[in-house]
Amino acid sequence: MMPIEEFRGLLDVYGGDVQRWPETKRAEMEALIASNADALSYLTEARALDAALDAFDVPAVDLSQRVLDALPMSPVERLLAWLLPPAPQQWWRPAMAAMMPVFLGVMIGFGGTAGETMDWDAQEQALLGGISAEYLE
Amino acid sequence: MRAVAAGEREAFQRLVCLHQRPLFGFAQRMLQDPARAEDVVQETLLRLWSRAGSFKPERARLTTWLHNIAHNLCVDSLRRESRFAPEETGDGGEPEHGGPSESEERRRADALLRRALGDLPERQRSALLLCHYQGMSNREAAQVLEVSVEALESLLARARRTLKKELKADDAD
Repeated sequence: MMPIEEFRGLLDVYGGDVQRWPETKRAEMEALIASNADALSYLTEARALDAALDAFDVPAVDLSQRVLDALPMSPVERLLAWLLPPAPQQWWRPAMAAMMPVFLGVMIGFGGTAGETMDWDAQEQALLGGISAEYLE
Repeated sequence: MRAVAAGEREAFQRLVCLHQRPLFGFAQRMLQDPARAEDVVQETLLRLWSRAGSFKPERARLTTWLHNIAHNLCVDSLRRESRFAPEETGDGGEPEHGGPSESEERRRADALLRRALGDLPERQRSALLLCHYQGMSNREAAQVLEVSVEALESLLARARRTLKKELKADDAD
C-alpha cells in the first residue's frame, strides 16, 4: 500500500482531480482512499482547494481587434490608410489624390503651349525672314 | 505559423482569436490587474507576429511558447510595479443583519483566495496557474518556466500547501 506521506505529496503536486493524477500511481492512490480515513480527509482538503481555485473567474474579453490594430503597417498599407481615412473630416485626402491627375494635366498642358508658342515664334520668324529676304531682293 | 512568418495577416488573426482568451486568463490571474493583463496579451501576440520565423515546433507547442513569453512579461510587470496589489472585489461592506449571505460569503472567499494567490512567490503562482487553469502537463509547465519537471513539482507542492494553510486559517477564524 502506498505510504500516506507519498499520497499527500502527490495530492500537493496534482490536486484532487483523479484525471490529473499520474496514470502509474492512480490505482494505488484510489486503493488507499478506499481503505484509509486520513487519505480520504486529505483528498477532501485537496478538492476543496481545487473548488476554491475554480471559483476564481476572469472576465471574458476580446482583444483581437486591439492586437490587430497594433500590428506594424507596411509602407503601402500606411499610404492606403492615409488615403482612405475613416473620419469624414479627413476625406480631403482621397479628394486631393483624385484631383492629382487633373493638376498634372494642367501643368503639362501649360508647359506644351509654351513650347508651341516658341515654335510659332520660330515659324513666324522664319516666314518673316523669308519675306524680308524677298523684299530686299 | 509558416503563414504568419510569411506575413499573412489572416493566419495571424486566426491565431490571435485562438490564443488571446487563455493568455488573458493566465495574465489576469498572475497580475490581477485587467489593464496590465491586456498589455501583456497584446505584447505577447505582437511578439508572435514579429518572431514567428524563429518558432521551432519540434522544441515546444505554440501554446507553450506563447505562455513562456506571457510569463516573462508578467514577471517584468510585477517587478516594475515592485508590489502586488490585487484588484478590489468590492466585498468591504458591512455584513447584513443576521449574518453574511451566501453571495457575500462567496465574495469573501474569492477575495481571500485572490489575496492568498497574490502572496505566493511568482514562480509558485505561475506553476499553479499553468497546471490548474491553463491545463498544462507538468512537463509543459516546466518548459514555460524553464525549469526541470522535479523543480516544477516542488513549486506546485509548495504553492498548494501554502494556499491550503491560508484558507484553513481563515476558516478557523
